[in-house]
Amino acid sequence: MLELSGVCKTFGRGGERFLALDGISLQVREGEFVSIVGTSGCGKTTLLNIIAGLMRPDGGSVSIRGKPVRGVSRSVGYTFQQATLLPWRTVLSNVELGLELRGVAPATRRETAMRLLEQVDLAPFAHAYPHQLSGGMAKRAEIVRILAIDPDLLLMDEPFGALDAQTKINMQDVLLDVLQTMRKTVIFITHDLEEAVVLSDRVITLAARPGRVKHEHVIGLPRPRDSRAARLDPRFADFLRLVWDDIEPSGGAGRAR
Amino acid sequence: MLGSRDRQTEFEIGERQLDGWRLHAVQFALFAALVGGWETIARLKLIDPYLASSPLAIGTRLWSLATSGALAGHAAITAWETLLGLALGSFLGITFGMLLALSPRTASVLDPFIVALNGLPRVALAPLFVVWFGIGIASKVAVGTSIVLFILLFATYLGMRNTDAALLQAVKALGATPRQLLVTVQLPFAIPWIFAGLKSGVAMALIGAIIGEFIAASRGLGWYIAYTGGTFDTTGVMAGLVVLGAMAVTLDIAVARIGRRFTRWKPDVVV
Repeated sequence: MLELSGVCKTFGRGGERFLALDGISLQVREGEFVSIVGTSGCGKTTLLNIIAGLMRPDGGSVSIRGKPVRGVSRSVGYTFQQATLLPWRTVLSNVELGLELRGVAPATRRETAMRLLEQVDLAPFAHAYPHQLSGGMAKRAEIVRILAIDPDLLLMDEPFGALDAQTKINMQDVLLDVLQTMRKTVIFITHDLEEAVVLSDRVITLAARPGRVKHEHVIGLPRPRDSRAARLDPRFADFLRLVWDDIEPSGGAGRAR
Repeated sequence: MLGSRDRQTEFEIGERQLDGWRLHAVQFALFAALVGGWETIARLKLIDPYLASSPLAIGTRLWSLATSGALAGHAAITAWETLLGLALGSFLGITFGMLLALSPRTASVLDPFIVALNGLPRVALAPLFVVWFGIGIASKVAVGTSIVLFILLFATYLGMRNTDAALLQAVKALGATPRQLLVTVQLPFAIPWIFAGLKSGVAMALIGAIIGEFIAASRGLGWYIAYTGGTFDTTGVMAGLVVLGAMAVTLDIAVARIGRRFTRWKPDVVV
């Protein structure tokens, strides 16, 4: 589905140059949920921007379903950490936005948006403005806004990073639930290792400066999943430890550098 | 109208707003006190009525101007000049502001020229406009336009350039073309800025019309004020000023009403 080979990216010019990504290669299968974790500054977001076509790599290639990525593709959805609902549009009109940009007829896009809002229990708030929503509700609206355009590939950049712990777990369930009904390929960036294990089929750890792939861990937890069952699974701790040891080489006991 | 909005917020910052009729009652009381105080000062001859006139004399003058039909004639011509100056200036200002915001390179090239043009005192330009556009309504509209244009240009430009980068990225990632980005994100984002610009534009268009009438005219409130001033008729000047003040308040309320319609989504905006 998605193939990256030898992707490099350098920032700055002259003597101030630094290598942000150094030869990233990875493959993602159709319908797979892959998380990318790593310390801040390891180039996670840069990598996602390159896959999304918002940024050009300096070397290497990116292709989706065999087609090289050139610019923003309409079959890719991207969600951000910040709140990005348009504050002057209602929730419904925000969810319709992607379809509106594609010239879909008003009745059709309204129907699609309402169906998705119902799926995440936001239908009663369809005509509310974003400032009237809680952080979790706004996040749900953003997720269905992306799903409304029915992307083949979903890129999520720390979407739950700004939420409190309880809301975050709630959102993980919403995401697991939605993906159960509409199977999507997802690349998910997070610095929350537990979140990565709960959601993913595979977790990729990145090393920083320059950013490169350290390891890949297949998360063999059963699907369908929910966040509680996943966390209580006896193997959860083993998977978490594997990922954790990658990020903190001392095994998490100390913070030796 | 400053702060006439009352909306529920999660917590109160600063003073609580006066609601509807209470606000108007306070405003009316203040107005009555000012008028009453002025009248008292004039009656007691604390200030020579020849210099400051008195509310009663002004009221009488306004009444006779109104019944003779002269008031409506002068006010209508000035209002018309103001509205045209505001409309034309806003249209040109918003258009140029938008174009410059879309092309930062052009904007940086033109910047000193725009600043220089905006720095020219319009009073000094008015005689030139009279030469170019004649002593009719067009020269007054031109003066108003020349002020309003820059206010709206800067408001639109700054509003669009300040568009939240995260919103732009998100909508771009949803598949928006540059033109769609303009219509769905940048322009809506600039709307509160544009209305803030329109609010000062109202006063500026009025000033433009009056400046134009001062230079060369045969009717309008500005002409009436200049004419009565020339004959040391302070009551006439004051009567003209009262009508101008009323006109400014009316226009401001109209712009605020329209503005609120466009910024209803904002929890705490004051237009």
